Amino acid sequence: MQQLINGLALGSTYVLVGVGVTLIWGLLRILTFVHVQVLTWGTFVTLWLLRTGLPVPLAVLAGMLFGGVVYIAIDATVLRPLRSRNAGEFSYVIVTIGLALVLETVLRMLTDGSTEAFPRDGFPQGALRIGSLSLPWLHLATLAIGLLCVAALSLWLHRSSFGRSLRAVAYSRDDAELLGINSGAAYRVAFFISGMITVLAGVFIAASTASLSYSSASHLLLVAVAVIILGGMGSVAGACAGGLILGVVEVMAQVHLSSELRDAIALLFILVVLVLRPSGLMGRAEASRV
Amino acid sequence: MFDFLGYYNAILIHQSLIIGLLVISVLIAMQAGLLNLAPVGFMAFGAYTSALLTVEAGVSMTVGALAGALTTGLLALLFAVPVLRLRGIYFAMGSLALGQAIVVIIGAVEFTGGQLGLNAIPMGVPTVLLVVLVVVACAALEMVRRSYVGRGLAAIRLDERTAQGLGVSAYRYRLVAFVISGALAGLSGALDVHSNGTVAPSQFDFGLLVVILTYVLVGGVGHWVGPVLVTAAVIVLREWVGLLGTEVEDIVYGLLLVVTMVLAPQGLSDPAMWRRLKSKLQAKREAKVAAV
Repeated sequence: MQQLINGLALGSTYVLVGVGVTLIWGLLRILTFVHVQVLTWGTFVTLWLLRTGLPVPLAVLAGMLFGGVVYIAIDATVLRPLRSRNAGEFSYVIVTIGLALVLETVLRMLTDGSTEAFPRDGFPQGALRIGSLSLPWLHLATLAIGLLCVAALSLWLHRSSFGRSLRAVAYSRDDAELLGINSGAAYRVAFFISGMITVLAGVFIAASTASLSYSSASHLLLVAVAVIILGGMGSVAGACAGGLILGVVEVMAQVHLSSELRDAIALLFILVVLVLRPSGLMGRAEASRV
Repeated sequence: MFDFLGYYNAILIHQSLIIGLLVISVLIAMQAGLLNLAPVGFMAFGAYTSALLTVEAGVSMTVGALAGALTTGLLALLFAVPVLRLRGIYFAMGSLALGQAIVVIIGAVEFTGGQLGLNAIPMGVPTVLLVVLVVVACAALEMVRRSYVGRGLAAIRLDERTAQGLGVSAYRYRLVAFVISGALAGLSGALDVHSNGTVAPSQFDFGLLVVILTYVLVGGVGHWVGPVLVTAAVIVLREWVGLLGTEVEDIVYGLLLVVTMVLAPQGLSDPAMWRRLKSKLQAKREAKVAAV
């Protein structure tokens, strides 16, 4: 039971990662492998601000804004030229792989490659005890915020007019433009929100491990791929379910199999889901090739 | 044969040729419109297969290397049969997962030596062999390019639907291309391990994948000459500039990849890009003449 709770706690951070990613990868169908670098940069900005004595909520908010702005900048400088040329899907993957290496290397030079301690003061501490079970407040907060993000994003995408126009752009950019939707603005908003949620995820992960380095989040890229594929491309609810399932399975594998193989679980998940049910748990049918 | 270059340069050329094989491996998959993000994992698979066979079972290096290539090709086949049904982008993501999974599992299990890897592996790969392999691979690529199969591959790259309609089986072409790509990557891994005598999971990292992708895409996927020339040019250049192994090198590779994809999406060997450039220059010259 305690393991299940630990798994859900890990899964809740994956939910946040997945929700940030699903907006870009799933809905807009732009695979940005630079996502994890946005997360790490934003988390480092939060860390630096925390060290100047800024209160936690302000520092986190500033980090999130930074993440959003960085993502918009990436979109405007690198991705928009590709989009305007109707470049193939692979181009986005390749261009962001290159960008990811650049951003990661620059961060490594800035931080001398060292692992920094991430202060936990100001984050929820202690644990809720129910019988023999212990539920750390930090993980409860992560889960609550994750679910809140999922709900808010779902509502926003399906009920608000801007969310609808974003989905229209995702469906067909040309048609949406003809209907008077500013597709450029839709992309910018999507990237901004995704960047903010992503940095939020990074901050909670750093707070739960109490450490942060230029490469401490690098495994999250494959986690994100696993969550998205498991949940189904573009489904916010699917990202939520996928994140929680992955978290539980990873913790169970660590306990019952071996801790080294834990890292391979996400990868095996990707492969199994791709073979058995490529559309994921809650995605649309996807297996149509040609 | 390469003694006149000195010990250091000989090693450099040797390593570059192995990287060249890996570049050709990715290029083969790309000829069929597949983005293979698993070459580094395949390389690791081939390297460990051959290393374990020669050390534990005592087979010769030739047998080990061939077995490495064959088993990696088999692995690629097992992966590709189900996953090739999916849209290309899923295939790319799946291959990334496969490649990473191979390296992670190698680092996690016991008989591969875990994170420490293996050493005292039989050594001795003549550089001439590598030269022959690269030349043969390039010649084969050129022959395929000019054949019926090559035109079929070009058709799949251009417009899969139309190609299918004209009777080109995209599935079969892709399957064969991916298996060959995997086998070649496995072979390059086996050759690498018998050149160095040691192998560890850490050498198969994400940076290597970026380097390979840079060579392939900056060179251009349309014709094999581009990537091969770019690989040679970059390796010579970075020796001269003295960037080898520094952080600046990573940044340069990353930026090179980004700038190329934004400005010349088909790579530098794309004739259409040079035509555009030429016509632009000509227009400028004519404008100047007109002004005079």
